[in-house]
Amino acid sequence: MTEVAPALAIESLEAGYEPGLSIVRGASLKLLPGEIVAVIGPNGAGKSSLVRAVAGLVPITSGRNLLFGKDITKTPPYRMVFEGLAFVPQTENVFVNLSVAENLELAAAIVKGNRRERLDPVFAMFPDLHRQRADVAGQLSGGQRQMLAVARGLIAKPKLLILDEPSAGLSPKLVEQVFSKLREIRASGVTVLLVEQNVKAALALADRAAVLVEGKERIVAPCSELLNNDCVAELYLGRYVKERI
Amino acid sequence: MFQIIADGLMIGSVISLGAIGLSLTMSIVRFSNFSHGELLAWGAYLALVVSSGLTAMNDVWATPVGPFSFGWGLVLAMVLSAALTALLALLLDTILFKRLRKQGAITLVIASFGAALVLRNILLFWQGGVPQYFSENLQIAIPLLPRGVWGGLRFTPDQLLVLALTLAAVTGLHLFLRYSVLGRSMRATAINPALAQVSGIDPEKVLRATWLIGGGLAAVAGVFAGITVQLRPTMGEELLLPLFAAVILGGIGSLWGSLLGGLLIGLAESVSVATLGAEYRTAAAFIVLISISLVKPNGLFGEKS
Amino acid sequence: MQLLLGWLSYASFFLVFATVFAIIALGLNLQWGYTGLFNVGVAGFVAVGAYTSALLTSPKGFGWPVAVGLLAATISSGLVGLLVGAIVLRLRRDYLAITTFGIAVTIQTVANNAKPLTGGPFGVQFIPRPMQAWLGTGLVWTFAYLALALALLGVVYVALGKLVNSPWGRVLRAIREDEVTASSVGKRAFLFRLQSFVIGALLMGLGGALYAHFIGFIAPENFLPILTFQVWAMLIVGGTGNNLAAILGAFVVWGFWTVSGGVMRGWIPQSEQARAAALQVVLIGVLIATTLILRPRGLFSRSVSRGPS
Repeated sequence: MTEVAPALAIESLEAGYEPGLSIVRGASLKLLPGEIVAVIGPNGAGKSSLVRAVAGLVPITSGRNLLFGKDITKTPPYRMVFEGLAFVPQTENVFVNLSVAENLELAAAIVKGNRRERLDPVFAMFPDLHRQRADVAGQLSGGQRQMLAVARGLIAKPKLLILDEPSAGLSPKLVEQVFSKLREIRASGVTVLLVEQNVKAALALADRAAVLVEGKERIVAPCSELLNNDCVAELYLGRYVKERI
Repeated sequence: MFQIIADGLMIGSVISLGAIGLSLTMSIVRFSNFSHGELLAWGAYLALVVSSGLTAMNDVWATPVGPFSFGWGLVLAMVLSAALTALLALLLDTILFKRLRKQGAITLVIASFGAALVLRNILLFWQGGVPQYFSENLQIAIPLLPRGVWGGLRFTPDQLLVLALTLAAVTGLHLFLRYSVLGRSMRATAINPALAQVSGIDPEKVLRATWLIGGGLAAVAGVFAGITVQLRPTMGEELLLPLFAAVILGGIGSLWGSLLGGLLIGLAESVSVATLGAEYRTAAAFIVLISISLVKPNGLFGEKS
Repeated sequence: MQLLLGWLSYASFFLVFATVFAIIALGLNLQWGYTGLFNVGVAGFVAVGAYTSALLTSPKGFGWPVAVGLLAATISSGLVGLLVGAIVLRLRRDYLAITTFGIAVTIQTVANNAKPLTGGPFGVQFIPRPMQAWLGTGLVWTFAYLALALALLGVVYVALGKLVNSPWGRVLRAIREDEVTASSVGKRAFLFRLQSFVIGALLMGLGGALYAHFIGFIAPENFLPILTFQVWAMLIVGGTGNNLAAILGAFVVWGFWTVSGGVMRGWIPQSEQARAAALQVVLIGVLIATTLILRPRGLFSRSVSRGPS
């Protein structure tokens, strides 16, 4: 069987804000190109810290990350877009004082190249944002803001898009809108890694999921398997939810 | 009454230019830089040294240009001084502030307080305590309104130029911040530094630009202060409180806020000088500062939410 | 023998100053080290204490006994602290720094200009020295004053120690360590901070008064921002959050200041003394900057607490 080079390879990653106090404790994960992988797990498991470490925002003490074979472990966060990695934070993920257009134009200006070439495809994928392009980002609704945050990530034409809890604070209907956007994005050839607290929606969206507990992955499997997996349910969902899945 | 306003605008122009640099530092580098006033003083004195040097080489440098009190020598000196002061600000960051960034805003403030003392005393050591002037030429004030009409209104050509140049500088900076990539990167970093990085903005580049621009503007402000008043080694210390007041009044991070804040503080000072006498002018700035801090801490145009 | 007396005189002079500074530093340490209040207007509170005691006790003033003056100085400084704190403590940290700085500058400006009250730039002279009637004006008096100052320092140190370890102190530490919660606790946290601020101000006023009665005259130029910087330097070099470290820091920094001053005076000719003074400040500034960079915890602090950043 031919080996497909992983889009992202996280290898025994140790990371944390304080030296000696690792939140990510030896986590490993591989993403194949074109996959959507979800990272789920109990609160405090280190899901956010894991993806933020990949994006360069949390200091890494040991282990490494490879993006399409290139070692990005020591890459500073601002260089990640140029390597093909775009990160969408959970909160404060748009420039609230700037308009929708200014937000996107700023992202485009940073990565250089033809502005129209960068903006047009994104506006085409997010027609609502095009309609609202003069509106100040701070005044957008929660759902629209999230769309803008994702759109901003796409300006740089990333090969890997990482999102930290994109469903946070959104109604189920809006979550479905955002997630169907993510499917569109995957269809355009982008690999997607997302952290999610909303297990049901995450398992419905993703191809595979990794369950992170205490800084390390415990189960990594296709979502169809996980939906029936007692372990996952018990790990942190509790029996009530197990019955509902 | 108009004269008070005119004087206020004069003082205000100097404060505005200094305040803009300080406001940029406070919103992007994120600490209150107590040594910013000294950058104005150094800017003025560096210009004095260059200008005197040029004049010593050839008198023609000092020949007044048009109706103004100074010659091309001072113009060139101001440009050079702006560049040197910009580098001084960057140097200060490199050897001191950069190393302390991890320790938090308070340490940076204390360090800047100390840096101010060092800079001011180096100036005292080097130039002595006697006030100096850019030029010996006296300026004749142009009466725009005769004395009979509301106290009259007199401007010297120097003062008009200072006002015009201040507005030009602010407009230029506005265009830079609005339309250039670096300018927008600076604004983005001020709004949300983490998101700026994630969008591809190099934080060190933005910080360097902030120090350079702040230093350059401070130098110009210092030269303007020297032209319209005089040069004293303590001028930086004396301007510090009005500068902070202007920044907070206008809103940290707002360019037009700093301009308006500076002009208003200038007006407050000139009013207080006219009514209470020159000794209490800093008290005027302070009262504005306290009032705005309590009533509307984000200032008139505060960008930070 | 002459030389020995000279040395003893110099040493005791030095120690009195260091002790006075130590008391002021303890005040600032309570405000900053234990409560996280960023007071950049220390000089103002010291000035209030100095002027209050001077004006109440000097023959041209009320001529009251020194002990009363000291007490009044402490109280008046505390009251100013209360007034200032009530208005200003709500503000964000940066704003607190700038405003307290402004307050000190304003106090100094008023002192410089309110001639009928404060004597303007000439200040207040003939401030009575305590115990002068019995002890004369020589070395013995200086020693006695030193003893007085040290005694007061001792009392303050012990009292602060008890305060900080009391339930009150524990609440204070909790507030400092967790500012997010503290701001949501709101009014109660604010009162604690205010109390701490006032107590700190009391000590600064006491220090100012002790200074006034030692030297015998004060002027606005004794209370410039550089005084604030000196006290902060003492906390930084000594290490904050620990009262003993603060005291040691006071002695070390004052020692450095005096020695560097003496060296400057030795090297640099009389005519350039103003420039020598300027250079001395430069050296101190560099010392502080280096300490901040190389030993951010200070020289003597063993505890982790450094105050929130």
